Amino acid sequence: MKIKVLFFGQLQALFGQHEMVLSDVHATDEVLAVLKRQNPLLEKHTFTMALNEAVIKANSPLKADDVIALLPPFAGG
Amino acid sequence: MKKKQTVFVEGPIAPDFIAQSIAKHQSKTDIGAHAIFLGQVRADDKAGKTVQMIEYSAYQEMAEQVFYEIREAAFEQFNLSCMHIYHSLGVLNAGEICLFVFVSSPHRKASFGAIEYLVEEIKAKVPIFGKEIFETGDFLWKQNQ
Repeated sequence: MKIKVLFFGQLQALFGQHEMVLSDVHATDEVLAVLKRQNPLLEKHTFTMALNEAVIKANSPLKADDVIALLPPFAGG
Repeated sequence: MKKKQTVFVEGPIAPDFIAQSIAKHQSKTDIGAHAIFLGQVRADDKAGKTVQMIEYSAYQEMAEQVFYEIREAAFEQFNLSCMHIYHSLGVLNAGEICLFVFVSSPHRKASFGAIEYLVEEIKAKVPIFGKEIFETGDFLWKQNQ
């Protein structure tokens, strides 16, 4: 099962890419664990997560082709 | 009137565009009050350096959806005739307009209430990101208070 992770702002700079595909992850907490292993500096960043364009506050199950986004603090206006 | 709109524009919002938007409403004679909010790029001083420009980016698909939800909520709460929201993407110099919120209603109270509601919601909920670039070329990521 594949899902997509999108990075924005300073997190895009941190990971050096806008988009990443991950396999064999079944919940958003697993995605976070994978990303923190890849880049331990993620721990120092403030961000929220969105699942399929809606902000999530808790661990959420994933299905194939879900899109997760890591969103740094908002700066609109 | 409640159709889904595209909010993002590339570069600054021109004062002429704002003037034309006002002019377009002169034919809508049920309107008795307009309220306009303009966000402007501020030349903040941070650690002895001055912000020269901001580069805006966004999670556009999600942002358009959130803008739509905010618009719908505002139409539900306030007796509005119409509403227009524009936000810039890309590089803007200090002093340029990055946000244009324009609400119209038969009477003033709905416009006053809606404009504040909309601006606060936009700042809190829309995934827009800003890189504050200093004269020196280095940068900081902006964060709404």
